[in-house]
Amino acid sequence: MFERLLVDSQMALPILGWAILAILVLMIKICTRGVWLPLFATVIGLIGLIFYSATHLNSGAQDLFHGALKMDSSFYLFNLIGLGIHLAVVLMLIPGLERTSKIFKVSYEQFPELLICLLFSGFGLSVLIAASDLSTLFLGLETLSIGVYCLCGFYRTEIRSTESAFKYLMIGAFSTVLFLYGLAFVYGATGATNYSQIQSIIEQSHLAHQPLLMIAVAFLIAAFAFKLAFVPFHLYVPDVYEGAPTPITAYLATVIKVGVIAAAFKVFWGFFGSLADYWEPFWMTLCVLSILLGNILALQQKTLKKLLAYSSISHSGFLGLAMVLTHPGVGTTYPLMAYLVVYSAVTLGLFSSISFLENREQVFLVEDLKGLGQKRFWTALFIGIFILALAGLPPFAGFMIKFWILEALIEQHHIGVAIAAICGSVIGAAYYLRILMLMFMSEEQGSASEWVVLKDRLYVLRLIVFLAAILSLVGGMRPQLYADWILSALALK
Amino acid sequence: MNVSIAHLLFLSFGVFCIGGAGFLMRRNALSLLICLELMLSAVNIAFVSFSRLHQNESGNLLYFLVITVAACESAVGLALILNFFRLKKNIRLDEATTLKG
Repeated sequence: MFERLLVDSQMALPILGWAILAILVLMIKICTRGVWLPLFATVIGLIGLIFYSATHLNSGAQDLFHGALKMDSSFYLFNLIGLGIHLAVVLMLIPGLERTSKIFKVSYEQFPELLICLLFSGFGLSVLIAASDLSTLFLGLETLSIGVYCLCGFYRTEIRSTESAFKYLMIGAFSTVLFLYGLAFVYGATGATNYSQIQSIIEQSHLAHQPLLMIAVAFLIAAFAFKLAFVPFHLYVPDVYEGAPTPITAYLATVIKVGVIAAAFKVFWGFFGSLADYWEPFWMTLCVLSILLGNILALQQKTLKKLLAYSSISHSGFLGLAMVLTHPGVGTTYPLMAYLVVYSAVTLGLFSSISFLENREQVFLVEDLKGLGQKRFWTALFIGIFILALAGLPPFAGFMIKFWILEALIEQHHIGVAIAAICGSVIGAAYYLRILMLMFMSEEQGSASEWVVLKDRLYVLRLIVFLAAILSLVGGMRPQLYADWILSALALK
Repeated sequence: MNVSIAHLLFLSFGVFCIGGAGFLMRRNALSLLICLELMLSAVNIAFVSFSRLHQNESGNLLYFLVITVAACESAVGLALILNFFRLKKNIRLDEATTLKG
């Protein structure tokens, strides 16, 4: 018994590594003063975990802790994406340490705590991705979310940050309750908590029409829609994104989507696979609504981060569609993975540029970007690249990830959905191109070109921006490279 | 009187609805947290009654996990409410409008 536990713990190192690292940073924080040592430990630890995960990509599926966690090839890939995002966010936070204004001074005294929250959230993320039992699913989701609530309120002397954390906590807790009620009904209908047991019970005893399961599906769809910010469950997202510190906004827009879409993939195609007739139409409707309405509402936004929040809503619609396309048997997984990789890279790059420019005392309006191309050409150029990649225009990776999803949609005979998604993207191009026009074609100077930019002495922001730009350019020029890498990482080739 | 699973489920659903209605209608942050706790208790009643229905212990186990996580969530929630109070001098949600517009 005890030996089994030891062996399992050793195998679960990519998951437990997060928690070990978090506790290590906590210890360092307790024993020493200053922020650089915990920061150094975090960065080194994350790089170590990335190498460990990258070398174990093809190590086959394992059931751990009596089937509570399942590590398969998709787990390693999702975990690798999560690790990469965490490393980028930690690096993005570093230049803020040198800011002198009062908000930053007071908040950054607690920088090690921020790192600990980030790492524990990451632990939650990896548990959520690996979950193959209702209990681990719930624990993973909550460990991820509770850390993120704290992260949103990091600038604790600032009302906007606190308000965003507060709203996120309330909505997040509400969606957790819906999620749990859904899980309770799954358990009630089947009497099991393990995914494979639930699946076999549903299939063998023809429970597919049971009302309890219908209620469970409804609750779970609502809960996932809250977490992924599908329209009409998106109302909190613009406020939360606006108020949270910019690196944390990037974190929200990427990590939450990676974790929740991975969990949704395992829940809906795992044990709800035989109920696809019931949940698929609802899920697809929500996705199409988010693509269309997310883009339409983004047209009216005046502040930059709210605009990006609506753009992320439309992107989560695409992610939701990609999740449906992973239908075991007929579907393909690589559109989902490619979308996550490229979307995360582009979002991180864009938010790094924004946090480089941003002046936290004022709200960043879209109009502020006017004439940035003349004053700060390189920043404007990179923002332009990321905006075009998000819009999905051809020379960038944003195009091919959308193209793969649309191709797979048409192959699986969802032609109406594909047309709606194309319409949404076309509407979206309008506001993306408006940003470009403001930056490069405007004669006036907006206030963003006068703000004091961050002192990026360690070149970390430039590094992230540069890597993200390369990822989006290479993906656009040689999409086959990505597809091959993902397929080999998933051991499908 | 014999208490059946159906009774327990109705109780759970009733508590859930009371909590949900309170969550949507109250405007005080502390009442909101209390309503969330009420809804989590409803979930717990459902888990425990299903555990009795199926005669296995998984539901009871989940009950303990839910209770623990609910405590963590309340702790973070109270911390944020305190911080909000320090900055705004009240905890009414109507006042949380800095991010509007």
